[in-house]
Amino acid sequence: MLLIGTVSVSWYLAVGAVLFVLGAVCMATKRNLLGVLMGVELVLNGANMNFIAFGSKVLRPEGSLGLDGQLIALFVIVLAAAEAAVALAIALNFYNNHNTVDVDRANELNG
Amino acid sequence: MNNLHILLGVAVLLPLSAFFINLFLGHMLRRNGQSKIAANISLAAIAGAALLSFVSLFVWLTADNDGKSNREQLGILKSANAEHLDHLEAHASGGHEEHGAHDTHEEDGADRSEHEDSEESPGEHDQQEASVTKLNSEVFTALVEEEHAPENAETHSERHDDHVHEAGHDHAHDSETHAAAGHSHGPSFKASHGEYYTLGTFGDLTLSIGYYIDSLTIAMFCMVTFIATLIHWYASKYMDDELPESKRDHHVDPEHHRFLGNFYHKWLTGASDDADDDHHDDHAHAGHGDEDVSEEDYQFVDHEVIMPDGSHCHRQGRYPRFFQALSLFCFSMLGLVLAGNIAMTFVFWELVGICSFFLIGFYVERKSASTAANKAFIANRVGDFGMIIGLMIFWTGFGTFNYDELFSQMGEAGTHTEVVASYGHTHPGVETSIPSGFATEFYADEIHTYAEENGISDDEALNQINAARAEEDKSPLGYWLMIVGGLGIFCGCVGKSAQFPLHIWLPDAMEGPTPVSALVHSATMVAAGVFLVGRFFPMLVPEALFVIAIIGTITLFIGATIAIVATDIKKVLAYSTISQLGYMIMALGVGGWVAGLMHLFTHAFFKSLLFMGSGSVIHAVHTNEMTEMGGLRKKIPITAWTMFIACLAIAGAGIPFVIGTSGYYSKDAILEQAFSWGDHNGWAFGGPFFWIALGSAAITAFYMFRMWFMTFVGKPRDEERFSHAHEYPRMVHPLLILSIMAIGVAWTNPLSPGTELGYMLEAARPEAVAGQTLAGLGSDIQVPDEHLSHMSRVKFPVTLLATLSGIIGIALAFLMYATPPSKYLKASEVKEQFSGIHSFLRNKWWFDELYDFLFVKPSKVIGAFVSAIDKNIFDTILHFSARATKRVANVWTKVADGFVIDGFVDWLGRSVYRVGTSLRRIQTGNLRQYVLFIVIGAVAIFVFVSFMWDPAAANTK
Repeated sequence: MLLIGTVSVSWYLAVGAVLFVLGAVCMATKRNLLGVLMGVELVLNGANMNFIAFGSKVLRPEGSLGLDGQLIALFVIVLAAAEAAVALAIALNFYNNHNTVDVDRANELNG
Repeated sequence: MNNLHILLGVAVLLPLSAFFINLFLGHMLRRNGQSKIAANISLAAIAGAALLSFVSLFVWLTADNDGKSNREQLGILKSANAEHLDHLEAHASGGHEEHGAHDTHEEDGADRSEHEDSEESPGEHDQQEASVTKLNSEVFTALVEEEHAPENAETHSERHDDHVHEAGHDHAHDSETHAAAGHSHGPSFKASHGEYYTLGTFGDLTLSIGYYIDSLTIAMFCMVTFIATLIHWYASKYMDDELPESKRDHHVDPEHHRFLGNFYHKWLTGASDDADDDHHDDHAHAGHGDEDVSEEDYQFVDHEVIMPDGSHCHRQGRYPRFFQALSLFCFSMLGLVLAGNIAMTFVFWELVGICSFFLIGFYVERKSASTAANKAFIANRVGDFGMIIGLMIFWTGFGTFNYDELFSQMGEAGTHTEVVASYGHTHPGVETSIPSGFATEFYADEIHTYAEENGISDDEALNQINAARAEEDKSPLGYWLMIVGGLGIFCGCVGKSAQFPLHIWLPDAMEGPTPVSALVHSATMVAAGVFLVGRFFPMLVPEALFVIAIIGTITLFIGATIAIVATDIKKVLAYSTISQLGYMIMALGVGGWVAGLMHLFTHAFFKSLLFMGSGSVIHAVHTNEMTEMGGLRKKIPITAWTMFIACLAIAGAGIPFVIGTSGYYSKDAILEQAFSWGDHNGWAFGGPFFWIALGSAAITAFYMFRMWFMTFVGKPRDEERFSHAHEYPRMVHPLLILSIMAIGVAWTNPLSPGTELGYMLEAARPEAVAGQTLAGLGSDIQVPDEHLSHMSRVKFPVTLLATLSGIIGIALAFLMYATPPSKYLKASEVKEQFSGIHSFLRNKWWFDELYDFLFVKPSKVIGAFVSAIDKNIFDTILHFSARATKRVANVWTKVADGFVIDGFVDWLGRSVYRVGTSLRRIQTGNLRQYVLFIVIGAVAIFVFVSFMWDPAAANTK
């Protein structure tokens, strides 16, 4: 059924949800800062899946161009790239100062 | 005539502009040291105004009046008057033969008083007059009535048939003018009146800035601006003291002005005791670093003011301020003369009063000056209060303030006895009946009853009732209100013209600088009262005129008697002014309109001359006391001889029936009119006016020459003062010009008959109350037509008597003061002989003490009483309540503030702190924990939306 059934929008949503959850779990469990960043990427792309799924031809009205979902996805990708650049810079500085990338060691701003 | 109001309007505004220039720029002008720019600005303005006034005089003279110029019409007026006089004389000689000698006049008076009692109503007047006029004065009454024959023809023609027929030619000659303007003889001269600007209209009532120009206005303009110009010229020298350099006289007056003294002492003189070293003072001053003080280069040292430490008062010179006030005064005076309605007159009246206040109080640091200013101001307020009452009465009764409308309404009403001015209803703008909505609301029952009784509808009933009420309300303003209104206006004149009982302020006003005394307190401002009586003359009913005559007579006598014993040269002139103003007022009161106003003009010239002369004397010898003068005619000859001319003029000197000084014409005219009044009303009743006036004329001559002899003749009483005396050219030139005017201002103009002062005024003479019977009081007194006073039977004895009284006065003064003492009459012996009277007069009839006792003391007693109440009762209550409030407040502070409010705020602060502290634990700093929170949050939102979100609600657009 999985192989022959029609791939509907909800499938995509399921994939997006899985990606999101995987990303979130990755962020919550990894102590390595780079691993956390990867989790962030996963979360963002999980969200992207949702955008693209809702931009599907099936859901959009007749006659409209309907590129909203795809466009937002592109924006998110661009934003993710920027975010990765900033985050990596933070990671590098953190490493320079503390000689480690363990996020549990970065708790100096606690209340 | 059309340009006159523009010319005169500009003449009024010129001094105002000078005032503003001096007001705003005077401070800067003073910085230029000795400059007299301020004086020159004012002088230029008033000289311009004088020029415009004389231009308008010529414009008026050449203006067209009924096909001829006014100048020609004046000539006609003069010849018509002469003709009329001949006519009167002819009748008088006829009547004389018929009815016997004058000696019976006194019996007339007695007879009249009997008739007074029997008189019941104005309706009976005719019969009564008929019976009275059987006696001697019939012929005059008849003549006077005959003048009004065109108006009164129906009632009087039968009775005086013969007179009318005899006079036929006369009336044929001027019957048109009768009809046109009601002027008795000769051509008529219409006043030009109009509005510059309407301030507001309320229904039919209008308030406006208007003008009323007749020959009186123009003559007043010329006189005021001419004298004011000379006085500005004179003052620009006289007020030199107010420039940096200052004279030093040493009147010591240590005890007053403590506050101001300390002020000046500390801040202006730098606490230096050395009063002689001004520059030193300035430096010490600048050393204090006070920013105002370094500017203090121009100082006036007032030596009459002594500081507590014994130094003199130092202050800035007030040269520009003086001319600023003088210009404002000229503006106000000219505005007053030009005013087209009585409200505007009142405004300028007050402006004149405040200028007088400023100028009297010019030396404000001197206590005497500041109290004199207050006294003048308060005395004037008392009079103005009466004036406001008069204004209200005329406004209510006539619905207008405009002179022309008032006069024309009065003219339409005919004789004064028939005045019917109604309340409200002549001008529909004022709703005085009850509004119908009101009536139907509150009087519905009455209206309904009335409607049922008469069988009409309610609305008709209301209309009828309103009409009836309106008819009832239309009661005449009433003769009594006319009297009260007229006397109210006169009250203002009493204050302004220093008449008894408000004359007390004028002598004190001499505290002002002498040019002010000359201009404000002799020539113009005090003349404003006389002018207003003259202007308002048509509205004054005979009873009011009678009171006016009495007041004038009392004033002229009081003023003359006090002047006898005054030794301050300016005080003599001040009391003389009061006396002369009394003459004018008395003349107007007995019906001598032209006589009174002519005296106003002639008096203005010779009295300003006398004052300026006295200023020159004071400037020469630095004292006001005549007891320290004497023999000054050798030192200051021009002053002496011009003042001599003025003394002659005020004494009315002249060669009888030939020529004389200006006072000869005007004073004789007054005495003639007073004589004529007595002649008409019986000597027992009417005599006092004439005899008091005549006696006071002798006194006038006496005190004026006493002053002149004491000042200029004999041995100098104070050698040091005498040796320093000298006069300044700029101060004597005006004297020379004025002395010419004092001699000749009333002379006939041989080139153009009628253009002299007397006929200029005659042209403005209002329809007089001549021949009117004094009704309302039930008396039978007449205000005689002024023309009757020119008859030879009046003129001949009066002129001789007046000349005689003048000679007696001068001779007595000569014997007492100009001859070597002990030769004939010694002044000091006379003084001892009459020591009682002397001290009585010396103390000015005890008027100040009387008013002190009557008004000031009671005020103080009441004040002390009220103050005691205040202190003992109100203060106790206040203190008690204050303490109580304080106690309550203390309790409340503890309970409400300390417990409730503070507690709440503290609790709030503590709670917030606690919450913050507890929340702080959440912020662990652990990144993964935060992510967990985010996830939990996201899941929570997801759960929340999944379970709680209602898609239907989201779709409700």
